[in-house]
Amino acid sequence: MSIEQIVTEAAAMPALERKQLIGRLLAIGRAQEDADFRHTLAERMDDGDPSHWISYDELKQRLPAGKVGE
Amino acid sequence: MKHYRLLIAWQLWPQIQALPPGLRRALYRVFDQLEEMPDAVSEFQFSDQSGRLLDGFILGQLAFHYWIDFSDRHVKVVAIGPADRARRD
Repeated sequence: MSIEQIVTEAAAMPALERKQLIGRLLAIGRAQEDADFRHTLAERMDDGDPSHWISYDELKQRLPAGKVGE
Repeated sequence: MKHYRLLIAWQLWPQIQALPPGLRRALYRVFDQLEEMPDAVSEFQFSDQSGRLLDGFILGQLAFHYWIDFSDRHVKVVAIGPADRARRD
């Protein structure tokens, strides 16, 4: 199956299936190149220490978005 | 009132700090949407090692990975990586 055929079929997929396909393609590369990536994700998801998380409000205070042209 | 509380893993601070201003503004627009409708932002999904489902979106050359904790009503941004892994050295 050529890449063009894959793209054509992906374009015809329902949006949810296409998202899952993209995620699995990304995971293929990740699994081959970084075996610890999923373990790292799980560790962070399980991290219940509040000091290890920055709230979005705090992020905006520390790093304002700034204005266009800045 | 926001529907979800958005939290960013402290390990990502340097990467977000290093973003050019334009990209940071675009990121914050996405973060605004994440607080309201995290499902609507998702562009891809995958599972961690235990099978929990994570979502993600692409912005520029970066892939942002986040986890929707429905029980606590938190959205946790847990990783930022290159969107194109083929370019990784």
